[in-house]
Amino acid sequence: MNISRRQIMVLLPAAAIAWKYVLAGTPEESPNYKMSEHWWSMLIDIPKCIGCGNCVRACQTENDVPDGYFRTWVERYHVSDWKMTNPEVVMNNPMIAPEVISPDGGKEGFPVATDESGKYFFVPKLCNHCADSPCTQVCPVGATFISPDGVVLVDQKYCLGCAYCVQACPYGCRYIHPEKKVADKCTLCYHRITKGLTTACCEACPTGARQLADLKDPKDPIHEFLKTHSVQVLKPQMATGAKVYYNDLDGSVR
Amino acid sequence: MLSPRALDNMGTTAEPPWARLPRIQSSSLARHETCEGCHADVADVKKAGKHAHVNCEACHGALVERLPNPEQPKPNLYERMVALIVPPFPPDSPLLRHAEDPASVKPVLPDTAVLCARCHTASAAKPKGFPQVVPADHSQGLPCETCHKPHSPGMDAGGAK
Repeated sequence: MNISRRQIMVLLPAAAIAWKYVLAGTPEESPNYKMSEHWWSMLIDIPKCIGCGNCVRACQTENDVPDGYFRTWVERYHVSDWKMTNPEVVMNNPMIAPEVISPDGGKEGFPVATDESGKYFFVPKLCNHCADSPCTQVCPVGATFISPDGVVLVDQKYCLGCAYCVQACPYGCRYIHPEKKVADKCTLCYHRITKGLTTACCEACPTGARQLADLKDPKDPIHEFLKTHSVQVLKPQMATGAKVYYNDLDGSVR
Repeated sequence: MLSPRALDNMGTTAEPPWARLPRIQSSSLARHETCEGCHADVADVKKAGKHAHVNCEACHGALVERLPNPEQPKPNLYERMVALIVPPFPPDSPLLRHAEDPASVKPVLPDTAVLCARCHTASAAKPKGFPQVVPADHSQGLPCETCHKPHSPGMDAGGAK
């Protein structure tokens, strides 16, 4: 191989700088992880959720999510007796929706329910890591993408912060980071799951209401669960191929 | 013609280089296995009780602290030009791990009045079988741990589970 003096002049300093970063220590990686062997999803068992907000707090600590922004949050639904007994009024009037609250994302729990009638339940929400996601399709610069293992990610070096994806997501799971000015969202704790760990929210959930699932792993308990339970995804009519499965989801959840 | 869909499907066999980006973040949670390495006595008590499936950091908080990145000296013109050819790796934030140096990250002793109430305050939205109380009526202001030890909350004398 012949290298001219001119090429050496360019290559040597580049190599020197690269070596500097090698010496400084590269961040933790997971060399043995094979993307083609996984397809990630999450199972949310609504009857187990107690609305403690542990998942929201764990996510904020783990991923440095700024205050007031959420990669995951918990909603409390209240469908009053009146709404359940007058479906014809509710159906003809979209303004009469179930009452949904999520104070500070449910981070510090919920106020005591004042109206004892009707039904209450918690719905934890996060990015649905859609198999056919609208947010990746609208990105004008290809900064957001679906990784081969089924996780929707953002390359924040490429992101312009145009917020098309924020509008495109039908689940409201994206936001523009107030300091970085780029799109930010749930990465399904990609830095953890590629090392064989579960996500921060699943790690912190005290009741097992959230479970990380690998759909490509035949031994994963998700397969048995999907066989034996009535499981639904959010907004199936949008055909997003959402991969966050909700067990026992109420029909009023939007 | 490349459509956005075709772009999505690119790299399904080989790992695309940009997919390495989000992997390099370090984690704040040490995991319960790490805790149990030293605190085996607590782990044994916990395994026998109702809180067997509640992970340590669910109550004690994250036990790895990520310090802010040290101030990097501003790259000079030459370094910036070289960075165009060899993009630099982002420097990782220094970590303090409780498991390596117990004095560096002190787990906060949780206030049971806040911690227990977060999960066990009675609410119509909670599953019916989940143990829940109205704290003001239940304990008359006594701290929870007077009767219930958080690692194994069942009461030996009273028989409550």
